Amino acid sequence: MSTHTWSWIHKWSSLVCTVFMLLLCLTGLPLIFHEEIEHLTGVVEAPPMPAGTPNASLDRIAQAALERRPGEVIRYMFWEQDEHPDITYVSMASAVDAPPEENNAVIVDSRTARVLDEPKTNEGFMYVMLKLHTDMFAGLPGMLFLGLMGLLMVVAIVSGVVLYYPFMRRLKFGALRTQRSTRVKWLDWHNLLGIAAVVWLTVVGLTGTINTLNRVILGLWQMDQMAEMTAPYKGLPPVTQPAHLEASIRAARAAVPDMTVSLVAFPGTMFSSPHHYTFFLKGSTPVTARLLKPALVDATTGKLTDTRDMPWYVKTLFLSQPLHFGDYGGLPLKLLWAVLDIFAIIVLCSGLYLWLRKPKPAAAPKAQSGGAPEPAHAMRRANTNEAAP
Amino acid sequence: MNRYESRLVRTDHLQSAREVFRIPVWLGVATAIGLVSALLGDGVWDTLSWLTILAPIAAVFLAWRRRAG
Repeated sequence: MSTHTWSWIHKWSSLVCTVFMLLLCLTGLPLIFHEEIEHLTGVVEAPPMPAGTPNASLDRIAQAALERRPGEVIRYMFWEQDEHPDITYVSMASAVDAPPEENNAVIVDSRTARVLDEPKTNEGFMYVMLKLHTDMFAGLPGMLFLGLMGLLMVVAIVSGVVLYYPFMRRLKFGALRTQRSTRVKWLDWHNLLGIAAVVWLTVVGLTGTINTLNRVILGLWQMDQMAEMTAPYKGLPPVTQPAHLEASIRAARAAVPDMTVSLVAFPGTMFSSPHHYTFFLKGSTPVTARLLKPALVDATTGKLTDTRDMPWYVKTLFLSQPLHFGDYGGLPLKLLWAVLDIFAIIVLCSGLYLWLRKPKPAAAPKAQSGGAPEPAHAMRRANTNEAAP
Repeated sequence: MNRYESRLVRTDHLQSAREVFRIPVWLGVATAIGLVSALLGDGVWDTLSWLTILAPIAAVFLAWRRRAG
């Protein structure tokens, strides 16, 4: 393809997705640090008790949550062993088949089965950031739309890399011509930041797109592996006398002894079958901690039905999560994530500027103050230099 | 363009694709190593990931330090 064609592809793929990518980069910035921000804004902590205090039975914990919100049902319980080892998070809803967004959280002390808090999960700054970032308050269509925009960004990245070559044939790597026109200056910044962050941006873009498919992927798993495992239960009436949760979790633990339970999905929810508790177990390394393994326990008898490794497409989704969030290498990795995110913002803004200030056939356009985005100290410095005679 | 800037940013010949993409490829490889290594383990693996993902950021910083003008 000719440079002209690539240039056309780069222009249009970028133009369509830039506004949405800017939204994603800006809302993503605080989301990188959501754990730290939540800590600062005061999440509830379990009161100190002697080390080794045994946990209450899961049935008591469930009972405490049900008593706190009478008339509601538990859909999920989950644990964050590393961050909050003594807390059980209970997610409740008005009905098992209520919309997936409904999430009435109850935080229970795992040792005493006492309710510690009922945090609001659908308000506040971080909630708005998360919703804007995942579906722009437009549900599944919004989510899939953002996934499509992510793919367009990958097209823009590929065409941008192709165009980097003709632009840079006469220039050394990292060339920043700050004494010529504003346009040349921003072109150089666009090229440098774009090519420096290209692998990170591609990975974050693609994994973000995969994450937008999470409901589709879970649906596939439901029809595929989950249907196979629960085939003998097909057509049976729903569970009326549920088995003890504590007995069920023991059955799951016994089936997969080298992993710890991080989530249990109750019968009839999106992550389970109508007749099972599905326990999701995780390993202890950064990778195995993400590759959750389901163990299905018959919700009537409390006995194990089956446990299998997830199929490749669910594993892909699971591994896409850390690679998108940047939450798997401590605070330094998050800081690097933030810097690269800011690089992406500058690439987007400079790209937009270069399109708005296209060179007129005769003379290069004169620099205009106020029009150029000025996101970083580096930029400001460059501006000052250019203003000097 | 003054002569100083010219020497700093321009090459004396038309570069091949190999020359144009030499440094970007190294930065990309470093980033990829870093993205994977923190997944493989903690401790040393995390440190390796921080150093390698720092590479593209350091490259931008150096380019800014020696920018023309």
